[in-house]
Amino acid sequence: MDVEKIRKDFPILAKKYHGKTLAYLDNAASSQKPVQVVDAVRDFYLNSYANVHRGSYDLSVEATEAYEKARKRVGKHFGAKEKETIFTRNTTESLNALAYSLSDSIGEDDAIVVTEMDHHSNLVPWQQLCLRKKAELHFVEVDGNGELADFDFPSNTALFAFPHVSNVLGTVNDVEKWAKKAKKEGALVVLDGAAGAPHIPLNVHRSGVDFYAFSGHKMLGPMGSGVLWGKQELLEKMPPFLYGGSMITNVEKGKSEWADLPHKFEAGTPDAGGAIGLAKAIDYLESVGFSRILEHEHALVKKTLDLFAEIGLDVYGSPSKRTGIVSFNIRNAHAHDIGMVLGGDAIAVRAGVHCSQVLVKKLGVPATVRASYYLYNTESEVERLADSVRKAKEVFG
Amino acid sequence: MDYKPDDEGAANMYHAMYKEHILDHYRHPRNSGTMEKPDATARGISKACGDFIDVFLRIKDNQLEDIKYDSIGCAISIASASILSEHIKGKPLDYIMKMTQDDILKLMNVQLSAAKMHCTLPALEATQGAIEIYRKGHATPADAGQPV
Ligand SMILES: Cc1ncc(COP(=O)(O)O)c(C=O)c1O
Repeated sequence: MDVEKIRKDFPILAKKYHGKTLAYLDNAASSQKPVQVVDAVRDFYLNSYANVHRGSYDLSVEATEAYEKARKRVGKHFGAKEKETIFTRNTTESLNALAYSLSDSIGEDDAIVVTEMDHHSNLVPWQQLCLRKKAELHFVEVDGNGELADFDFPSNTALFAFPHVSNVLGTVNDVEKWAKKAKKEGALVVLDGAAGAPHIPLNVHRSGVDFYAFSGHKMLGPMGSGVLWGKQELLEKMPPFLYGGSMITNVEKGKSEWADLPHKFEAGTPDAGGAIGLAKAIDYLESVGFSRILEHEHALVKKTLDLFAEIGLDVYGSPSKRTGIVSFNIRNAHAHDIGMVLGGDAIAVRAGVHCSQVLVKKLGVPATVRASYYLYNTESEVERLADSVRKAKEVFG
Repeated sequence: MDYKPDDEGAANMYHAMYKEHILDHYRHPRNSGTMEKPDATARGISKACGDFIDVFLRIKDNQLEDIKYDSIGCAISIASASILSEHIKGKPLDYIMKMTQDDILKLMNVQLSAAKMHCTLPALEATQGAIEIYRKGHATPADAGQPV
């Protein structure tokens, strides 16, 4: 993998702050975009733009075809049929839509199971659903290595929601194993793929899950491009979440009928440009190769852990399978202060609770600093990170 | 105050706010700790980051006789609490109630980046909140005082 060549596709990486080149190590929050993706969106707006599914004229047909082609391309990446590939704004919207649409099938005698490592967007919608329905909410705990601990699913488990990858620790969960375990109790299985999809391609049908959600912006795609996938037979039975244009076939004064999948779940004008950009982003990632990217992240993580061990830092989690995420702290220093020192050195990391307060509370700290890598990061950026952290340790440690 | 890329002055702001006197207050916070049976207490929370500070006040004759605080926060928030506590100890309650964030920034004597501004507020808000609670229980005429 030629990282220097890849970096040329991301002009933003040459930006300088305070005389230093930006080291963008906040990929778990969002990734940068290659020119190829921006060009694809630009081309759509400049050459093929009209509203989709609405016109009797060529341009609208072209726009519709471009949007539907993007759906096919994106769906193919994770083994989904077009009918099952619903475009949303992001993971959060996908999961909330799901929680609303499934709410009629959750009752007082049911339990929903989530994990301590879930992002707020895969925890709060289920927590609130449980509160509304007086259902039980259970948590799979996170162990000392930062992995999911053994868990016996209650026999009344109606739904299990978990992340493919922890956005704080980088832990990669065994999707098939957990899906199978929850299915034994007859649960619906929801996978939050936000932190996993950018690094590990999932085949939804092999995975054993019923629903899968991810965000395009974390995998080189535009902001505003997200996906909700669900098994066709389930989606067909579920009520729509949003009502309005594009999701309807017949409307009378007293009743309405829904369009076929996937349109039933795509009310209103979609972010077609976002979907087209996401399709291009997936082209780009596949051409580089997901397994090569992950290997590259592992090399960067190893170097980080070696350097951090020399410095003497608190590093959180040592999962057996991980993506390019390292969460850490300088003992006695506040994560936000570390983040500011790094920021002054043009190193972009995230300091905070990473929308995962349950997990960060379990770690026993108010916040952590998180460095997260992707295909365009380099060993020299890791060295700069370590140097800057060393400096912060002298000041605050 | 806005941070601009490639601007040397603003660039240094990230590091420049950690001046020696600020770090000294951070490393050796004055008046930090808790208090047995305070006359008033309140918690200040930074909505932006979830950090918080518990403030404990001893009040006599409408003056702040003693202050302690217990806080989880960054260097700027701890330094602001420390500097504030030193400044207001012994001062009339009215004076403290009139203080604003600008007063704290003047006392801190440091240029803060936009992202760290909010860290200076919870200590003052908690202190003023505690005084308000105290006053609701002790309706006496307040005495005068001017902010810095
Ligand atoms: C694991 C995980 N789930 C959900 C989300 C939410 O993603 P989005 O903000 O794109 O909806 C994120 C990203 O912040 C994440 O890392």
